[in-house]
Amino acid sequence: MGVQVADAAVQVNNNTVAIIPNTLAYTEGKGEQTIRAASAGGGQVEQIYANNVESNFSMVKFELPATVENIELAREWKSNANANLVQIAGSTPEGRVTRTFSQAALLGDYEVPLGSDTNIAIEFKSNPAI
Amino acid sequence: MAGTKAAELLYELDIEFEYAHKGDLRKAEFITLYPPTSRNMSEVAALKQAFFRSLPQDDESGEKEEAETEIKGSQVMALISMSVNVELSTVLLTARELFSAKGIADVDGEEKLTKPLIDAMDPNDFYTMTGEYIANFIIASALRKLKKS
Repeated sequence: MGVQVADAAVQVNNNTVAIIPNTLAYTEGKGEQTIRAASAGGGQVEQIYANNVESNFSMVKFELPATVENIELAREWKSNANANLVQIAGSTPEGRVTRTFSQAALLGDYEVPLGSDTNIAIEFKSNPAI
Repeated sequence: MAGTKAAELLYELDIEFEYAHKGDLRKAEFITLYPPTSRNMSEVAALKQAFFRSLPQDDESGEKEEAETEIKGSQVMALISMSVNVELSTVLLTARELFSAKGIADVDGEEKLTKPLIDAMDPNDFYTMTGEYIANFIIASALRKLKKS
């Protein structure tokens, strides 16, 4: 039986960020691939595999409580354009997983909900995770 | 008039560590250290007290006292490490708080030294850097005053 990684640490630009539990997710940035068929006649098809490099970017997202500090942090990350670096690290008794997302940018105009129990949803786009 | 303090100090790392700079990972080569201000008085007081508590209690000759005014970082840390009156781990944790404060230390002179970066540093580098900081910025002026008095 494996142990699921559930409480990974997040660092943005050398600072640890306290996130809402169970909101961290990322994509590897390996892109999307497609398979098409090319007809060879007589009912035979040949597989054409294609790598759509347009989608070779990673996404890393998490949610932050809407504190003054986090509101200012998010604003700073947005102002940095793509000069952010996000690192995540999670461990279980079985081992450790780390990913680094370079040249990360907040592309969307994220929402800042002000109220009790509200979170800021942050989503970076970056170079493929390493 | 108070004695002058060095404006900054470069500590060259023996072992590099990675840090984020403008969206990319870079290898850190040195730490630029700046003198403390009153904002850091709590950590400065603790480190200064730790050093003076670590000094041998015997009152020896004036020559010895003069030699101690030129104390080096390695000597500071040796005194603290050998002292039964001071906990080295407490000194290092206090230094961690101080170095991660605003305006005290920059990695490669570019990025603030944060706690996650300190945690990525080689412990020997951190130990030596702490000694250099104490010697140059925390006890230097106090030792000069002791020499004058």
